[in-house]
Amino acid sequence: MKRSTTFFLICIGLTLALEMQGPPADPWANFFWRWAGDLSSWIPIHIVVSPLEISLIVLALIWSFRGRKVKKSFAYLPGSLDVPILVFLGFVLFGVLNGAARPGGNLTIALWEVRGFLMLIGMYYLTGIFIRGEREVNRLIWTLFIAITVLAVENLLRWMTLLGLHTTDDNSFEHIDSVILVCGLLLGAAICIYGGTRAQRRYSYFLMPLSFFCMMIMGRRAAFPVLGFGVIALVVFLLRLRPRIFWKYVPIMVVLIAAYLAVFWNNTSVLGQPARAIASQFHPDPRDYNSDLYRIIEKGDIQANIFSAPLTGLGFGQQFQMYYPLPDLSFWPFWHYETHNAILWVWMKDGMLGFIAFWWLMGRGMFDGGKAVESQREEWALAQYFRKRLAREHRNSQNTDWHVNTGVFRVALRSHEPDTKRGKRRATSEGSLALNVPVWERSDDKRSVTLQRSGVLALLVVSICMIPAQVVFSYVDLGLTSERDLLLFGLMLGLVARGHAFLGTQVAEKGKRSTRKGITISPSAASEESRELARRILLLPVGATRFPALKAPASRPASRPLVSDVPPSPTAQPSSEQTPPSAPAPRATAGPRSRPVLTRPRSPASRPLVSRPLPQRAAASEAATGGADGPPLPWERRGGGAE
Amino acid sequence: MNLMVAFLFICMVLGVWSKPKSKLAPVVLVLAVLMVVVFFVSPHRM
Repeated sequence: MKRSTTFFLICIGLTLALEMQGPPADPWANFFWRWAGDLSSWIPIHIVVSPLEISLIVLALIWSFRGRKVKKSFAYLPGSLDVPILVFLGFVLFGVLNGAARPGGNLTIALWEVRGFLMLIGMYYLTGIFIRGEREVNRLIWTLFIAITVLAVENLLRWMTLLGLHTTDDNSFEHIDSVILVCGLLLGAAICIYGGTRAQRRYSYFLMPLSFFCMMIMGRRAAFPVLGFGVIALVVFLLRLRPRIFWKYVPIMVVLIAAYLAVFWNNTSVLGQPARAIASQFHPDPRDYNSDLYRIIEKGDIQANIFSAPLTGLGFGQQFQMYYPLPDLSFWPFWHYETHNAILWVWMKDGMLGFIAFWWLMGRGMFDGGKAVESQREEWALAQYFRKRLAREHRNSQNTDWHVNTGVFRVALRSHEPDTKRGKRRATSEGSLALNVPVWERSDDKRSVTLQRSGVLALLVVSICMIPAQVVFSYVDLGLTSERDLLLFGLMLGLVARGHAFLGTQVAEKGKRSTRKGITISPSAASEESRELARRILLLPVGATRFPALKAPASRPASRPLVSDVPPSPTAQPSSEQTPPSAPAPRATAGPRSRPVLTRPRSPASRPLVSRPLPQRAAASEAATGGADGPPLPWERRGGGAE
Repeated sequence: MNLMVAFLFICMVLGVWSKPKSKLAPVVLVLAVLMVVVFFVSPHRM
């Protein structure tokens, strides 16, 4: 399985790194295009599949044959987009049959047209087979990093050596490079924002400027709207997940971008390419005007063809009618079959129902991805809640029940503090509370049994951002007809569909969730589990050894429970009615080794330790006596809690 | 294209800002159908 996954990642890396077209003098592109090109185009045997496709087919066959023997390691991880993508596949097949059945249909051309869609669907399922956990996702991130770097460096060298620091025409670089470079740029930014391993973050600092500069030298206008819409989606997630970062940096970035546009509005140099992409919408130069005119005429043709068969479409393999004559592109074999606007092309070829299925797939990708990312924020809400309470109570230094109870959390936090060696930090005692921190706050300083640095959330966010980016690109520049592009798109959809699983929560039917290890927890079980946790914490005798997992190591006196044995105030009068039977008075159970943590004299108004039954304590007491249906606990009332 | 991009961002906002237990997935299909119908009725919005 491990070798198969490695081979799968190599296939992805080679496809993204190796260009399919380039100037004739480019030895790199003229050799490596064979990876994604048909075998028949470079060997005498007529085989209309590429080495890439053969590799993916072999991987699928390995899974289907060997998977029967080794079910555990070759299982398929279902995704939330399984049904939409199957429906879309059904309409694609319908389009092929529809085109073949109509007069003038060409089945060979039809298969060429849907090749990209088949790649998308195949990659979606292969992602569910080979990318099944956090470890594989992090390997995938490195694969993308390396592939995008190779592509960017190759383009840069081509621009410096073969093109003489001057981009001559549109065919100097492949169309799809824009999407791949935007993906690298967004991935680097997302890792800086949402966290990743230390090496990933450092590499991002190198990859982001490289990708952006490469986009500028390519001179493709489409790259910048693609980047713009991807960044807008990224910013929406930033507003939701990290609002402080949003309000700190986004307004400044908006001002800087406005200033850049004002300065470079009429600049045609490399640095002015992003501004040119916007300015050309208002006053295009002759080259941009011709490009725009072609697309306007082509759009008119598409609309006329759509309304000639709105429900069923023309079918794949059928030529579309050029009601408005297009400029001559006869050198392109698919001039009469494919259009630059590949979004409306779906409707023209596949009909209205196929178009609806396509948008259903796109919309569900955005929706499910958003849900998965939101689950990460919900899980963080509980830990954030406790942190705020800890900080507030620590400032006030009042000995309340809450203060005592949160003291055990402080112990849990301290058990992962960085004053130990690296190996020791990894080892945590069995049953200890895990400090739940969001991925962007994970570091070697805060490590626990459940968490480690990871770029999973970053890649998931980028996968969602790539959906609008891909749609914008395909609207103007042939995106959905490219096999190389749809490999990346299928991979992204596969990741989005399994976002919950990668982030550690799996939403199942009827609100069920399973943990990262695949253990399904029903809402009732989760509720009982949270109540049990509350019971253990809220009824914890201060300084006692009831919760041994939370005890600090003997060598670290600072990690004793906070306020465990503060001298009680003179007004402290704990009564037996207020104190639950199972929770002895703190002073009575304070161990001999314990010492006061809070030394500041308390005001007379401060309440004594464990003197007032808080609602949480009452609920936990009730739970301890078998009242599992008591009022909800604080974290149960929050969004992501159990029902 | 504006309508298409708006549709995608509406779907994303639905996923991010909706309640965790809400069942809004069918709304996406309804929105997709509505968008295509709008395109059909007024093609200049395509």
